[in-house]
Amino acid sequence: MVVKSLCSTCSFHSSCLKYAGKDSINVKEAIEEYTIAVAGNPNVGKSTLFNILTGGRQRVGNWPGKTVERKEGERIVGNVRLKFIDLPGTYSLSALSLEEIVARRFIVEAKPNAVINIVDASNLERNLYLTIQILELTSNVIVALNMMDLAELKGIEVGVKRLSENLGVPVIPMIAVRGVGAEELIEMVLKVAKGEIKCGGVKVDYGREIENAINQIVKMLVEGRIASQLPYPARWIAIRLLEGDREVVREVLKINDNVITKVEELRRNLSNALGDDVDVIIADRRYNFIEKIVKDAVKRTGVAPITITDKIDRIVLNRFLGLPILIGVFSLLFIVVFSINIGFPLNLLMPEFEEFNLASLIGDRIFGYISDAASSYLTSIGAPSWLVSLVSDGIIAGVGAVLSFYPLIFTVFILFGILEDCGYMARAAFIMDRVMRRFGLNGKAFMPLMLGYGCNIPSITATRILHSYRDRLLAILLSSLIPCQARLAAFTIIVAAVFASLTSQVLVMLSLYVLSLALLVLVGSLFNKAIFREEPSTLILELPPYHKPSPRVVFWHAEERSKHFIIKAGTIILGVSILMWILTSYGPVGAVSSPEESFAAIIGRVLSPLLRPIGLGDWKVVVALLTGFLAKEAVPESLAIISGVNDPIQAVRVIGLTPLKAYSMLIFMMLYVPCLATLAAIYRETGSIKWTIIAVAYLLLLAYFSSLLLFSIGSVMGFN
Amino acid sequence: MVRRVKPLAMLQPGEVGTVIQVVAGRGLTLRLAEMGITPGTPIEVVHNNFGPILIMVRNSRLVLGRGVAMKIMVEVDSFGS
Repeated sequence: MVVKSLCSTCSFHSSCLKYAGKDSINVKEAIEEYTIAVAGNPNVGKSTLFNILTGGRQRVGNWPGKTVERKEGERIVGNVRLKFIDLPGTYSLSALSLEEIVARRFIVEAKPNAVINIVDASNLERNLYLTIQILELTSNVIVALNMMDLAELKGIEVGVKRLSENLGVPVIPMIAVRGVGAEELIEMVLKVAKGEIKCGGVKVDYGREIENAINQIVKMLVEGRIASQLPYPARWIAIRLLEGDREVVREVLKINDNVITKVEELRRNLSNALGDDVDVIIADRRYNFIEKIVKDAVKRTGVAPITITDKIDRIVLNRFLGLPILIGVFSLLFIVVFSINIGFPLNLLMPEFEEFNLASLIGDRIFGYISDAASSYLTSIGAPSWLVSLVSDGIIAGVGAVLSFYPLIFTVFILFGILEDCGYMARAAFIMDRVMRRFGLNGKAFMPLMLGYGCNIPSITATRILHSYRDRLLAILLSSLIPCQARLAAFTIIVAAVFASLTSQVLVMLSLYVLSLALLVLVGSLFNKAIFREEPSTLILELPPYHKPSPRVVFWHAEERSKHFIIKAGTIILGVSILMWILTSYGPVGAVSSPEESFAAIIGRVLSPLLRPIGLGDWKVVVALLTGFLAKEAVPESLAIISGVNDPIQAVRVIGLTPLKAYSMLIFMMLYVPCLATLAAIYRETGSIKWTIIAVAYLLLLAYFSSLLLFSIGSVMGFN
Repeated sequence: MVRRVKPLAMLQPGEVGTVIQVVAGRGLTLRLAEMGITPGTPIEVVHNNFGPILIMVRNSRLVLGRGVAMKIMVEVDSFGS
């Protein structure tokens, strides 16, 4: 074995773990703080582990200047504060993607006191590639050997001690989903961070020729005082230079360009001598090295049985069944969501359920009650009547109407989270790739777009999983076509008010969803042909084994993806509610008794000629649609405020929309401009004002002409 | 034994082979190498229909677009021919 072992002097496997006694808290001692990075491949349980380590309390943001998510959390153990930073899930640290750059820079520049590297015990070969790369940067590493149960099922027996000796760092076996091994891990992290255990790490032997070259470069780096000016270990710089790492080459160039010329020469010679690109050979040598470690530390008990994953995949990835099953899964998901939230289609089958749906339950009962209570309280303490009206009719009604959609959105994301965490979403990307290519995206874009049915904002953020900027841009532009839950809620109110029979209601709703899908394909193909032209980037994707979803992770995801909705309710919607109340209660002459004389009416009448061609010339509709710029879910509520009616459904009836006009309004509402918060997300993720404007412009045009087409044809055919 | 080298995308489901060469630009070649697809690596094709291809490589399931799979040259193992 080429593996160098320093573990003979390290006894943590026997005695060091008996550390707990030191935990007896000495409060007076000053608190020490350590920074711990958590690294690992995608799909190995990193989120679950991070959740356990931080007790679920985490701050989420972006890495400075990057559209890469950064999670941070902490844990107090005795008198020590451990600050955990979640590095993006990557397969390597080669700076081939933003995530890899971010992860690498953090390890190098922030110099965390320890790095936890979580690996999948059932898939060690692939996972240890990252481990080896981390070990080339630092030896303060603890390997969290996760999914021990899965490995056992696959007939893989990992010799933890052997593995630890071969890697030169502690290895802690874990089953993160069940919290097994978490305490041991934290203990070990403390010891490594405090320097109580000094780990030797490991050195990959890249073979005579490459090692020679590495040594030559290291010599140049040290003698030229280059290594001392950079934060990386000299051997690591040498290896990266040989691999042609652009980032590192650039940094070295800044100091000395002679070295790079020399390196180029060495690279060419090596490449000629070894018959392949040096970076590929180096990757190959790492894998060879890993193979040896795995062979030494892992026992395979008998032939690996055909796993459950294989059995499920045989069915869900079947060439004929794959797509129908996928459609079935997502249809079921939508039926569940719709039934819980708006009653449909459950209320079709069981009329007694008609009254039961979360949205109206919360909207009418809870907020109705709060609104009444606030109103009578304010009246009882002698508040002026305008204040009573502002609070109960404006603020509570407006914010409440929006908050009542929160459970809708939350349910959608819980269900998506389950599909994601169990491994099915990756399969969906595989199945949908062929379909998605038709409109210029690859299969990975499927998940972000589906999230849009919950809310467009997480959908836009989720496009980060796409590899190229071109793919992300197209996915972001298309995401707004997907009707979110807020739009769904607004649709339901209008549909319920205007269309009499349940059958026609269902048909109208379905037609909207079909239209949105058709437009998605159409607009995607158009954008693809006219603007982007290039092929969507090719799919390279690992399918994780199926496993039971972790409730922690699923809940955390749902919370994360839906929380901005609550923030929005407290900020934008609150503002809109107050503004609407003012605009409709006051006019040029002061407080007005009828909205007809209010500022809102004046604004609406000025703009109404624009919307008359699509049948929406009523100033009340115009003003309501204007509030939709800020949030689509505010439209029905605005109609209610304008009409001076409490119930939005009543308001729509009072305004007297004909079915044709209502249908035109539905189409317009589905497509015209993303809401303000989505717009902010588009700008944040594209980093471009130009593309944000393009997104708004194309949607406005699309909405206007779709409605115009429908309204004109409808009018000609004699509908009203 | 006849050497049969063909692009990975042309292999039938169930066929097993060994990577001979990856004929692609530097970035892609390195990315594939880091996912474990280097010359000499055994590969098994699990699914290969019209869309992307699913393979087993180094103990994990990997999905590759057809374009990429055409760039990976594989020597097919002789049995089962």
